[in-house]
Amino acid sequence: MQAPVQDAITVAEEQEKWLADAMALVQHHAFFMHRALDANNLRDALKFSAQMLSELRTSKLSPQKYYELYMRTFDELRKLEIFFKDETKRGRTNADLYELVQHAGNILPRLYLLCTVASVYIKSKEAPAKDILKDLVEMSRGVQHPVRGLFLRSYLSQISRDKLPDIGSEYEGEGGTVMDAVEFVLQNFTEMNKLWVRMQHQGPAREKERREKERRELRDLVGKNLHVLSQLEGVDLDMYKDVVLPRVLEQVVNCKDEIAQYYLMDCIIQVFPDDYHLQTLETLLGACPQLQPTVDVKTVMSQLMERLSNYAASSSEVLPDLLHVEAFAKLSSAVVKVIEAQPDMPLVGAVSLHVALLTFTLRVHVDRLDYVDQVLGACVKKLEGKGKVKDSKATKQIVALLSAPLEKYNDVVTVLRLTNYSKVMEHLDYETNKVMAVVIIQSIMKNNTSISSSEKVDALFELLKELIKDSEGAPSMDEIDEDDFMEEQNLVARLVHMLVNKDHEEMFKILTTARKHFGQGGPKRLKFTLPPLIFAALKLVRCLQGHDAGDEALVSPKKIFQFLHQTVEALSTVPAPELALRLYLQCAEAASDCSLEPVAYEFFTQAFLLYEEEIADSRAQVTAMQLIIGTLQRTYVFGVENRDTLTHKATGYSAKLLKKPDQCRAVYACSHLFWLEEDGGTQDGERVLLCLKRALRIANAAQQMSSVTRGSSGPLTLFVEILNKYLYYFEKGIPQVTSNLIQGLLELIGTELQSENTAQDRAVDAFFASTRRYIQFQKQKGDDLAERYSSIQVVSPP
Amino acid sequence: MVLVLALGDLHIPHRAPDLPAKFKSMLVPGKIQHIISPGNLCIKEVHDYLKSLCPDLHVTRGEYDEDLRYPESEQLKIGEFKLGICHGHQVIPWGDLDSLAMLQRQLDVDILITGHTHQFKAYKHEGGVIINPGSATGAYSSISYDINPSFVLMDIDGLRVVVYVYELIDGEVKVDKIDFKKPQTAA
Amino acid sequence: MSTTDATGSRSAKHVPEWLNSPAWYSKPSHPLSPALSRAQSMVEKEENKPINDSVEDEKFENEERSRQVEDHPITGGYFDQSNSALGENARSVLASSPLNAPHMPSFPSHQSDPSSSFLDGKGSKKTTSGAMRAQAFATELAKKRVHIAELQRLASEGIPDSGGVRAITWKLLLGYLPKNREAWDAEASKRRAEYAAFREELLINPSEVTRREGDGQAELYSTGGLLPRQEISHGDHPLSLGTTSLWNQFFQDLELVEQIDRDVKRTHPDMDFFSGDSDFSHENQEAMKRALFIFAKLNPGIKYVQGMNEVLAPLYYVFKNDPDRENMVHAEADAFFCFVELLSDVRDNFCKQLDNSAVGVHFTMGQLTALLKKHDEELWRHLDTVSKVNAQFYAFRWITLLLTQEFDFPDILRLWDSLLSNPDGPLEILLRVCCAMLICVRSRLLAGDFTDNLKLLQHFPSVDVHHILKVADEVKDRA
Repeated sequence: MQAPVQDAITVAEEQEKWLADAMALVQHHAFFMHRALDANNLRDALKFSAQMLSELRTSKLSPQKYYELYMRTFDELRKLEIFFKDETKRGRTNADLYELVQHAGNILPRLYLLCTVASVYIKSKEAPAKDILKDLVEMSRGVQHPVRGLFLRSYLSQISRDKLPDIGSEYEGEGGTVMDAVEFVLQNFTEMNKLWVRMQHQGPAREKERREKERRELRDLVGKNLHVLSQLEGVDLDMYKDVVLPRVLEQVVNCKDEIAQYYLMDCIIQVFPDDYHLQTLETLLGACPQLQPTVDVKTVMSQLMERLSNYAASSSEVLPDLLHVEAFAKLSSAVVKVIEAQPDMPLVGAVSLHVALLTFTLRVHVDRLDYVDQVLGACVKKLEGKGKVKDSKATKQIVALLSAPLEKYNDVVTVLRLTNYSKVMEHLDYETNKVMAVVIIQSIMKNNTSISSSEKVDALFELLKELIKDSEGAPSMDEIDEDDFMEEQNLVARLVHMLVNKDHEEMFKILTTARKHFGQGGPKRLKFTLPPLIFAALKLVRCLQGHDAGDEALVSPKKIFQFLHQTVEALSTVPAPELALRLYLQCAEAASDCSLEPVAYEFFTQAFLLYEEEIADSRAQVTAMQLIIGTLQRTYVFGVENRDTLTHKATGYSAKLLKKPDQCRAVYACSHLFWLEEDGGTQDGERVLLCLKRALRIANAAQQMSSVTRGSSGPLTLFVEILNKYLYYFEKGIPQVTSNLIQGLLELIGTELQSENTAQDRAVDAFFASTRRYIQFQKQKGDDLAERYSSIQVVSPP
Repeated sequence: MVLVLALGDLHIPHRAPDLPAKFKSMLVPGKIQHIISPGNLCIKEVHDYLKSLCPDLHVTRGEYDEDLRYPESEQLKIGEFKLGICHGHQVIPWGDLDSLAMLQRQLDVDILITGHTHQFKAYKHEGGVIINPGSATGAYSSISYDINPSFVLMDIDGLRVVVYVYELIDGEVKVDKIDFKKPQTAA
Repeated sequence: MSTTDATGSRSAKHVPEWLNSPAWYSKPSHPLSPALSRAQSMVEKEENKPINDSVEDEKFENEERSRQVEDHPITGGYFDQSNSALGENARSVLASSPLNAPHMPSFPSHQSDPSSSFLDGKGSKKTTSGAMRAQAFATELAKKRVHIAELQRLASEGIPDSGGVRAITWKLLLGYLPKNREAWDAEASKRRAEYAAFREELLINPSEVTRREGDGQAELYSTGGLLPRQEISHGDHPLSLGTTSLWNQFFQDLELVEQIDRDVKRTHPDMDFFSGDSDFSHENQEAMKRALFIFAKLNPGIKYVQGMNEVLAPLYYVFKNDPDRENMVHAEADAFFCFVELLSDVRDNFCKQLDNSAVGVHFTMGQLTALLKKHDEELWRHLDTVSKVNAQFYAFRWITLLLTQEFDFPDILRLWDSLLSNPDGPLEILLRVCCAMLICVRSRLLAGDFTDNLKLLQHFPSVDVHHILKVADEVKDRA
């Protein structure tokens, strides 16, 4: 389809051509006009200038091109004006000139000439400025063609700018008052607006877009009038309030034109001073609901609010004015009214209005949480009944609404005080809600905010509920991405460390509150959320250690251990037995440090139970035993009976581990259970030795098994390890561990290493070598220990 | 000059939310050639973060680590030094220097990096040096009370090591150093 | 417990190997390297060769004598570390035999032949034979006060390759050495000391600094116990972000170091001197890297720009191949200062901000095209308008890198003799040479289109460099 493209090219070319033609003619006539001017020939001057001005009668040019023509002509008219001035010096009166030019045939040239003469006329003060101006503004009505009329009136505005009878101007008094000036400008403005609006409806519907584009090109011609008004000295607040604003708004509202309304509202806001706006806020805002529904009133109002916020920020004296004038109240009721007036306004529009208002509030009244809450409340009202919002644009605005206070205050605790916050959040769909929750947690983490009371915890977890538990609308577990889920829950876990209060009672309350919430999270969440809670509780126990508040206290180690017990138990049923076992052991040690023997015993029992019943994987068992033995080795609280029971269990299970090497190691680890370093701890050399011997036997058995199954004996590592243990105890001075024993073991290992059956193992060789080196080293130290070592011979292998 | 970062027992997120901010601001990629961790990171995010600081990352298994594939112990050679890594919960009594010395003999390394107690230690014995970088987050430990977050950065050059100890005390980072060398041994 | 063998760590990824080299903090000690000892032996041979005009005879004589010379060890003379850098050597400078390129073992023997006279007797006398020219140099250089204009004239016809003449001449032409022969030593020593100070100050290895401060206290395997912690001086540790921190400075320099390293490794990959696995080439690379790094640190306004390595290379090569041991040892320092001198003339071409200014490279390229237009309008028109090969497609590299990429190495040296000896500065003649290059391939260019011409000019064909220089002279004369 070639035609449209062709048209476009042709149109542009056509315009160029027409303009070129017109300019040529203007030049042509101007040439003759100049000649006449030089010859002081008024008649010819008028004749040729009229001809020249006739070019402006064209309807063919687009506004842009017309503007070029206009400017060209404008330049010529300046020369004419100078000529007129000279004419008056030569004796011609202005009135004469004024009358003469009216003989021009066509109205447009006539009016241009009249304006040009008027410029000189007014300056001469032969007649009052106001009369002349009034005359002109009325006569201009004769040109009703939008483009021509707009430019003509623009010309009028231009030549009259410096000749208005403003306060303090030379034209005041005889020439009129500022009221006259205002009246003149307002009238010009009104007429120009009408012409401008008329353009919208000229021509076929399919050219609407082009027309609207052309209109936008011309808009500043109309807006200029407002600018002129703002520059008048005499337009003070009262004048503005009583005369200017009402008249302008009247025109704006009545013209019912979307483009004009949007532009002019914006113009008013930009052109007049902020304190005027403040004082006329109601009037100005009152116009908003009356605007056409298609006008982007939200942007207009945001512009206004932004200006006012900037104004407030500019100096501290402004703020009281704002309060005095009840700016906030007016703005918020305006928002409501606008929304009411436009029932078809989509949700995103309504919410954006609230966002704009919130932005204003946060900037200007940052410490008025009640205002902020009010704005949120208004939004809640609007959202009532809408359930989870599905429109993504509206959702985006809601998120903006929720994020603004977060970013402004950087303190979630403050945000928690906004009662409507959670209500707004409810309207977010599941995914977005979670995203928002994550944003909230991140804000806490980033700003290091402490959540310091159980009430705050409640409020916070209410906001985070989609993360913490499964609500009805949530998708099922199968649909959720594992990794995302883990990331989220780990984030929640991190959050737990922010729930702190130095006061122990309050801290405990916090923990129990959080526990309550987490408990509703379902089995999948518990293993993420409960452990941090447990460690927080253990930390609290430490704080309380030593303070004996007595049984009446609201919080005591015993109470916390109860809490811990229940919480770890919940974990074991998730199921997360390995985790639970570790946590039981942590609690056991903590209880031991608090000298609470039965509590510690109970924790150990639970740990063993888990071990027996739930931990089946052999590797897991090995680690579990290490942890049990390690913990038990550090606990001093037990009396003989309890201690024996636990130790017996430990050694028993150690010996029953699946693989022999693991058994061996666990058993010799158990030896440490019988030799507690600190005061009051058991030190039973016999039992130590028994363990070591048992370990040796197991190591032997392992050797033989290996021999049978692989044809060669397995690595001797275990023997060397046990040797090292012997040395350890030897150095501690256990009488049962004699140098003979050590010697025997040394020789045994030495022999085995050289035996043919043994597989070569560099690691074992190195280990044995370093052990021997160690013995040598100890021997030559020359102290008591060296004495005891003296009977041990270390033989280097060949 | 080879820079080796050693840090462990972060226990994120169970016992700590994150590395202290002052530590994080110092740890930037491009300066460190190796990272060694005795373990207990505990989650993948921490692993990934460390990996972003330096791609050569060695982690051994701590009892709370999520990733069960970390080895129980590891050995590597940097410069003239043989380093060994092991979390330490396997060595009983926990934190006992003599027992750790035994492990060091077994691994046959000059420097043993270990953790579990959350307390910084640099201990020299006949068989080498044991370094416990402490807990980089100052996490709760049943073994040690009142822990300051700490980690270690080693500058290894041939036979010499300068160990920089970074500790967060009352909100400020304090840095000390330990300087030792290894005698030239016949191969 | 399972054990895993970890990969032993090799030299650190982010800290280049060369930083570990002892050269950072110890005095370099270079044993005479193979290429140089070959140079020695060649020089020896020449020492014993009779001076005569015939090239053929020379060759024959060489082969004859070489067998004899082998038995005589070198005595005094050349390797006398006494004062004048070149006094002795200048006397024994001989014709460079056309076929053997003693200092340049690894590239084809395209050897500049100073003995062919090329101009038609215009201007001052042209010494034609190689031996006579060598004698002329010797005479000039032996004077108490070198006459620069005369040296320039001589050099513009080509400097002999052997005996270190080129090294000394370039140093004089670039103003590194003063005209007064007696002052040479003092000046050289002063500058070399300056360079040593730069090295000390700017090539910091913070790790080394720390070690020097400490004393590597207790040995690893002696008595046991908790190791005590020491305070850090100036709070300087590897992770320091402080502006005064040596470590921080070091890491910030790493990028610069890596960039220089990359470029230096790519310099003249076909030459053993610069490239390959030998200790010698590594040593040379290290020297160049250091010089470029120091330059960058001393000139933060321009720092290091890719291509500077190419400009440094000929200077360093020539100085490193100086038979005088003292000079050879300090080649790095000498090359550094000469590089600075040379760069000050062409610096503006390296400065990106000046690219489009009245002094930048685009302006220079414009001058080239203007010159071409003046002297060969037909060619200019063809290039500019018909085949539309804009100067910036080919001349950018020619100009900024001073033609080091367009010719074989020996030719580069010959060209640079002319460049550095031009009384009006290197840029002036550079433009004429570029113009001459175009003219010399004009028939091909005229026949070619955009693609052909571009290809040709970006891979400039092998053209006799003397011919080009001759044309360049003509371009001047007609100016």
